Amino acid sequence: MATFNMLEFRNITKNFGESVILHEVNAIFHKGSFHFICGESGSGKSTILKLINQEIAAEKGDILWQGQPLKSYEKFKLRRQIGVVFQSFELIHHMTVLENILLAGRALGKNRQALLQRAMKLLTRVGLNGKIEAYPEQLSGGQMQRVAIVRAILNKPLLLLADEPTGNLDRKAASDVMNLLYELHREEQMTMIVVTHSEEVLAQFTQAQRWYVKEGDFYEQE
Amino acid sequence: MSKSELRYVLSDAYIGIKRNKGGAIASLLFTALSMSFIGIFLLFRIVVGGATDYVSSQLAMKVYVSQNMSTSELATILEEKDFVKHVDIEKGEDLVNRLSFFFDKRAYLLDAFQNGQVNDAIRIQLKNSQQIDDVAQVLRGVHGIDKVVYPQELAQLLQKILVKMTFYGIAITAILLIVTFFMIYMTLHLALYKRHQELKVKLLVGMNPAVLRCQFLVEGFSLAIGGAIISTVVTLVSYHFFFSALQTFFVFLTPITSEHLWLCILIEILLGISMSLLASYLATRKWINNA
Repeated sequence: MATFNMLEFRNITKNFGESVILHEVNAIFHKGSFHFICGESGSGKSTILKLINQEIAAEKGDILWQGQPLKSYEKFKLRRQIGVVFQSFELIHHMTVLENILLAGRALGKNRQALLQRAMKLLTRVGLNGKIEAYPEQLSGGQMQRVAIVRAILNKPLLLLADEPTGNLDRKAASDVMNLLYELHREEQMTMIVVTHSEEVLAQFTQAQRWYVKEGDFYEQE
Repeated sequence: MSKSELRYVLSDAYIGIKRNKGGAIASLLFTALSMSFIGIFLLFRIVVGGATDYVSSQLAMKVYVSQNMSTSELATILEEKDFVKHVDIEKGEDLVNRLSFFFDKRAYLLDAFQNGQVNDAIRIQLKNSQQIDDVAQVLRGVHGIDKVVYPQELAQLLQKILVKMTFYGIAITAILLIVTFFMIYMTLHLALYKRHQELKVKLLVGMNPAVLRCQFLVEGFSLAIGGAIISTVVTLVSYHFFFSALQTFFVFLTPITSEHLWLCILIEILLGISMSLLASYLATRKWINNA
């Protein structure tokens, strides 16, 4: 079966001051695939995600998105195709669960009714349809992360980036969130890249592709 | 921008103002104050501009003609002089008629001035106002001229006062506009700081930064419009209760037409809106470019 390169790194080099974080790295992420990026703290895992999302730019090399250089896309238009989940959830505290989720769609000028339908469907899927009027402070860590995931996939992005999504969760919540992400990846046919340093998470998904970042190198585990 | 994006921008701007009520009210009131001051100052300028012209005309000298002299003949002679720019004849009856306003309801006080008791006068404008003292001295010795009058010092003093008033008025206007700018800038800057997380999320999901900026421009614009409404009312009220009364008592002041009035209001509104839009744009630059 022919695979389609969703994302490709070509000789990417990224420095922070005098520290070389990534040195001429190459990588291919196929459409519909699920990847972990692992490594020690400070090795450059989050840097990979920031390069993809155009939060930072590489000193050298090219990143191709669906065959076209990332630089050729307007930042905001590219970001509409990429969902992001953070370790710190990044929910807006003065907004309810539903408002937090709808924000992702309304900010793009989408029809509220259509957004509402999709939001309720996803909230039911993640088991939070009874919490639409709740505020983030009224939720557990696991619930907040599920809300964040729903917000990230509301607009049906082609790629989901998750930066240590289980970092602030206990073992049970972490396992639930990772299962949810994997199931959504399959249901929504979404390419996913998850940054983690948790061995327990990695052990849970041995079938997923693993990449390692170490001393400027970025390589796939054989 | 699509219709739904516009609707979102407007509703979010409204929510933004509501969430920062205190800052918004303070900015709105200060904007109203600045715009009101500008409007009233402009009206003053129009009114006293006319007074200045009147005073300037008084820098011309007046010679009162003897009863037994022909005023028009004397005026013709004077007009031919090379130091004279222009002459006007003021008939005695015209002066009495102008005075009648000040003797409103006491017309009997004017009886003494009736029947040609007031001499005709010739108003002379010199080509070079510096020569006024010398010319006055010469004219006093001319047969047929009873009196030479030129309220030089008073007129020049009034001129100086008017110039100073204009200068300080412009300076105060500039200061008020600058303060208005900073009030709106700080209000929005604070609002953006409080909402930086929201901005971050909006930009990460792919909101067009220009559309996001629009929301804050709308907030700044709304504050300016609120200020404009208040300042328009203040300007209209001050016109109705103050300037109209002023012109009733001082007829030499330039009358304010409705065109003048609305032009002043338009200028104050445009200045207020420009300041607020500029402040809003600059306040958003750092947050939206770096979010």
